[in-house]
Amino acid sequence: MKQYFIIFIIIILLYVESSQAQFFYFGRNKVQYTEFDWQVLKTEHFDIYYYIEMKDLAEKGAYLAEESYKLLEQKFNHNVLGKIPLIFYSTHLHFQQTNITPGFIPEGVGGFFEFLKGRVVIPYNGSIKQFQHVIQHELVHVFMHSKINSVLFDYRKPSDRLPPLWFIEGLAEYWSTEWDEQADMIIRDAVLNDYLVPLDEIEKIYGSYLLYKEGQNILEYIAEKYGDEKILLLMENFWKETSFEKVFKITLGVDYEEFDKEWMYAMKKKYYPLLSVSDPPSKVTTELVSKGFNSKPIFYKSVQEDTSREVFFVGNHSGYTNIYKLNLNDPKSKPKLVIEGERSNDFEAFHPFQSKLSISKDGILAFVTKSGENDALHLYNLKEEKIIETLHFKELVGIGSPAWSPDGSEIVLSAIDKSGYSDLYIWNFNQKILTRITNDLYDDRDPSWFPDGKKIVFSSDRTPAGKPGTYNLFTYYYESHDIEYLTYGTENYYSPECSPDGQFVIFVSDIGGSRNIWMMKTNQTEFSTDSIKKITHFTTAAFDPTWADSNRIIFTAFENYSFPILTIPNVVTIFDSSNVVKENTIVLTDKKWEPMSITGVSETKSLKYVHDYSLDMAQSQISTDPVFGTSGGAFIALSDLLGNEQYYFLIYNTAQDRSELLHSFNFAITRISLSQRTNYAYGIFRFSGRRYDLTDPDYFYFERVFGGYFVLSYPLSKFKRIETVTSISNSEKEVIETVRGRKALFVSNGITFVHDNSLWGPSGPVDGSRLKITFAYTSDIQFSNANYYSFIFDYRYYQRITLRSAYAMRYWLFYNDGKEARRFFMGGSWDLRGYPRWSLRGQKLWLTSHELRFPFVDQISVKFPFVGITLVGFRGALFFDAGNAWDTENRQTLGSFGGGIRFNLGGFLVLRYDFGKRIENNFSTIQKSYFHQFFFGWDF
Amino acid sequence: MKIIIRNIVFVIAVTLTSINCAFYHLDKSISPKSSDWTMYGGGINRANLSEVLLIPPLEPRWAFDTGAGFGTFPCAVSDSILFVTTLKGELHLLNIPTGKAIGKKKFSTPIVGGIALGYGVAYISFVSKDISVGEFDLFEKKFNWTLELSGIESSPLIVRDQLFVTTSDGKLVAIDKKSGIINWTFSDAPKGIIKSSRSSPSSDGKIVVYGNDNGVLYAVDIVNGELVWSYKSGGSITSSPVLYQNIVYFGSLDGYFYAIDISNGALIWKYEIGSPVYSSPAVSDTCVYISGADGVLRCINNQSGDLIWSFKAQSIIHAAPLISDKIIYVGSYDQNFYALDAANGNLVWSYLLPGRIKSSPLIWNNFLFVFTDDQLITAFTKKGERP
Repeated sequence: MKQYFIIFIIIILLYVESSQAQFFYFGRNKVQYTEFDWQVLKTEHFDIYYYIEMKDLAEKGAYLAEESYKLLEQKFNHNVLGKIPLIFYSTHLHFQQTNITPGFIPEGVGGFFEFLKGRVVIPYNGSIKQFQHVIQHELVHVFMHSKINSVLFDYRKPSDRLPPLWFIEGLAEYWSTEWDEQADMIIRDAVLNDYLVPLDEIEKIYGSYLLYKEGQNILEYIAEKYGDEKILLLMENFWKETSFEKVFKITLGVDYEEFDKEWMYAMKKKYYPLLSVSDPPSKVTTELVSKGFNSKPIFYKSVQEDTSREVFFVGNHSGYTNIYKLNLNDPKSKPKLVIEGERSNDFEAFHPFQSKLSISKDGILAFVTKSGENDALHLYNLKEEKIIETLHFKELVGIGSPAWSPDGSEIVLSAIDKSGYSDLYIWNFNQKILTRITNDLYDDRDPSWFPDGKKIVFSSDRTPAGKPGTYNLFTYYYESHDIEYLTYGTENYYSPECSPDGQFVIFVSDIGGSRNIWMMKTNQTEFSTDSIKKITHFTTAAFDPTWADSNRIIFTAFENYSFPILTIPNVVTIFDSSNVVKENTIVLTDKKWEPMSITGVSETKSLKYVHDYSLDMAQSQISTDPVFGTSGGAFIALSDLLGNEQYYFLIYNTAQDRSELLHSFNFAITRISLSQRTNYAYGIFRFSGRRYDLTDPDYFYFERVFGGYFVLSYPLSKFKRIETVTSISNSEKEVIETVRGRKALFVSNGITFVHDNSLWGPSGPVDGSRLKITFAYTSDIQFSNANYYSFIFDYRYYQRITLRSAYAMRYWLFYNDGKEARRFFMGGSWDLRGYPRWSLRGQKLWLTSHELRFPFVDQISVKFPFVGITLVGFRGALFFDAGNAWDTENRQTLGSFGGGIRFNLGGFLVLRYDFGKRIENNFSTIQKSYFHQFFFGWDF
Repeated sequence: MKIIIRNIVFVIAVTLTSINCAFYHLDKSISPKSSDWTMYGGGINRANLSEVLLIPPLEPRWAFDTGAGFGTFPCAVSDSILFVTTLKGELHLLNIPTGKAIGKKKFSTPIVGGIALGYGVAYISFVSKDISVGEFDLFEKKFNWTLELSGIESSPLIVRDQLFVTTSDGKLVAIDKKSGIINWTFSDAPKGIIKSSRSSPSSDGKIVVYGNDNGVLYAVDIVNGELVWSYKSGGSITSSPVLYQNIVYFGSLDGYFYAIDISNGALIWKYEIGSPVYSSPAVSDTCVYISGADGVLRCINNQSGDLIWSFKAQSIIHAAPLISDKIIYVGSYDQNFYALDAANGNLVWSYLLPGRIKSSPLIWNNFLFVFTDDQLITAFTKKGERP
């Protein structure tokens, strides 16, 4: 929200009626739904920020942080001077509201380190083990950043660089977690499917999860082959060269190319033999859905219509995550969209990694989405194809994996409350009562009913077996409320589901090092040693198995860096013949592991948070312009530790000689508050100096203006907001050439509605829509020298055609009217193409643009003898524009058509080249030659 | 006009002075005495045992900003001059009583390993491959000889007519001090993988002992460079060994501290530190003082290997401690410089400095020098007394 707010203020103050504002004034909202009562826990090395409801969790996190600090201090042979600010959130949904970073935080982000102020921000997700991993991962970043700076400082080298991302993230993983089955799955799949990216080309997977795991794997390999001390030496030698590849060569004695050869060969030697004992999932199963990312399948067979057989699942096939269904009776059928997600407040986000789907015997689909502040449980009638009920549970923040009871009267679900604890709850539809059936710090997930309705099987880390944080399966007895072990492994067991006939439980486990599907019999009171058997032998991994009937399962697998949905028939036969058996030995000691808390081991101090401001940016500059002369000034930005309150100070002087010094001072002070849902900003300003009116190049004047303003922004949802602005300013204008002047005391009021749910491709939006409507009125309340009103209508719609192509439409109507109403301007690559930039001016303006956007060239590689260059992601466009700008009478319509190429440079700048023909003379003639325009900027 | 000309002359003079990298003047060449501290550890056995008893409380007498960080063993003393090398590649000469700079010499490459002093000369090791080590005439301000080896990140050792250095490609090189000719080179590095020797060599006059990143401690005959024995630890050895009363003491990144029989390389005892040992020990007649990365300084009976006492700093102790009779001085990354009672480890005095202490301290004639990573040298003297 912050970024839009700042930009909005700048626009309001300086360019309120500039048509160029189109490129900034949309955007989604980071809504501050929750009011947090922030506290500070002070430990030996950390200032831990938390809110009162999660005190217990914060103390456990503090203990984990101090333990990680001790470990990393030794590994890095380095300490961090000063307290490290550690900000905890009890759930991911709260974490997504943080103002410490202005950007949106995706579902998969487990925490981040903000290096400007050294802040570490971490949410809890229910698992203490994962919490520990993320804390340590982020602290590796803190230590590495400090260590590198210390090394560069010692050698008097500029602290202007860091190691490449593969090393930064690889090290954070390598020194925060062990090489687990998930990491192995990623690398195994990459090796076996031949997409392991060599170090020499690793920028191709910049920012991806694959890069994290390749980085971790490379460091593991270096430690094993070259020696563990080389990891630290890579940092201690960092001063020796500006290129990390050269540091790598100095430290290891081999360059990237040489290293790649041996490392990739070693990976092949390690993983190729797997093919003799296991198979890629697609080779031994039937593929139901192969396109895109898919998860959490659920089978449905209507009781009324015995012939229908469908699979519902969460999928991302277009950039938005949706719920789809697939008709199993028609092998050629494609997935059909059922619930459209991520475009509205009700279905703001699915949790495809956490939350399963469930369908009742009556055909009611239960699913969870983020909906406003918290998660909501939605019930969708499959027959009527509509949402019949949405349940918001006030005390539950995050919800996962709802499961219908066999009789359809109850739903069991896992959920996280504001304290951060993940427990099981049952919602009774008849009594409208939510009952908490577990209540502790252990992570309870993936509940599923037995067909008799008397037991619930679930996965939980409440186990003494293995390392702390290991997940086993448990049975909850509905009547007695007892919880009993179902498995006693030292490995992890997830996603259990009982077969419709109640004979078997199917689940996934990482027994043996890779996540595969296993099955066990249930009709025994004492589990025999042959009761857990391996069903699949995949080279990669399987997830979320679900029964399609009593003898067939459907599940998701990981293969070739995608998640297809697959099915296996005759699982009972496979179970009977499986000779891979896991002993389910009963552990006699039944103690739970207990995570330590900082209060038990260290003296701590907890205080209420008070705003702790520090500098974000301080910049001074002197500039010289042949027309406007010399000006000098400074800009300072401050914000508090949580990023909620911000101050901006701007001061500069435009005096041309000493006599102008005093009245040529310019300043602006702005305060922005983002701590509540309603964001506001206010400030005062004084600007004085020579100006050009951009709307009229002959208009050259001197203006002194001072005043104040107040801005409110209320987000209705992530996608919609209302903004208002009120300003009062005294303006004194002298037109230099004609020596005439104008005084005015302006009062301006404006209100704006903004909607944006667009989905962006490499050069601009490709799906969704954007709308902005503004009404504003400005009047001179003292001299009546000026008063005018403004109306701005800007609507853009993006119709997806294929995954990578779209048809985009834009409609503008900008209207200013009144005394001294300002002019809009138009023309050029950003709006009416084919016409000189800003060549059309007027107090009124209309425009319509239509554009077909499509992929043009995916990759161009040029290999010079000394270096190779690879450019990726060239996009193509075919366009048609029409519009005009005028003051009093709209005399003509102008237009253009043609094609263009766009190229995204580094993710932040799009270069654009357009060519075509103008349609001139009130749409009567077409330009004989072609126009060519080269500029920069995102597609509209 | 006169002012302009004067300014131009001044600018030219300053510029010319800056171009000349040797920016100091010595009235006479130096001649180290037995009481001087001419190389790391105070002698060829590297025991870090000072003959001067300096009893706290101390107070800072002066501080000097060198403008760059320090290696682990950055200094030596002779003729009331403190010679300090920096990671920026400068040699600073400071007048000890006043703390004033005599001057400095800028070299083209950083100095991690430090300096050893001879008569009128300094032996300096560099990280560079082009000039890895050289004999620098302090009076003439020029090298008498230099050698191109792999870079050096350890402290040079002078034993009679020979200079010993360990290199970043894992070799021990014996050099004739006068001529700069290599007498012999020892290495058992396998082909392919580079294993550095960051551990400074030490000697008893008959053998030279040093550690390697491959975890092996080597004892090499001082005359012919042949391997006498070796001992394999479980981790890299960055700690510089101490030879004392026929025992070699060293720590390893495997988290153990070892005592080895100097005659045959047999293990006498080993002590589990429990965290990587980056630092080097100090040894007295009864105790060996060593710290791991856990920030705990331990006093271990040097014959039995039993712990006598321990002291916990608030962060890592990286630099070797210094024994001043009844007092053990040690600095930590926690920015504190501690003085402990050698008998029981009790804290006698401490001083909070503005930076991490990564380098070994040094005592000379009632002055104690501490080096911090905010690039300052702080000279302490006994409180209330002016030496």
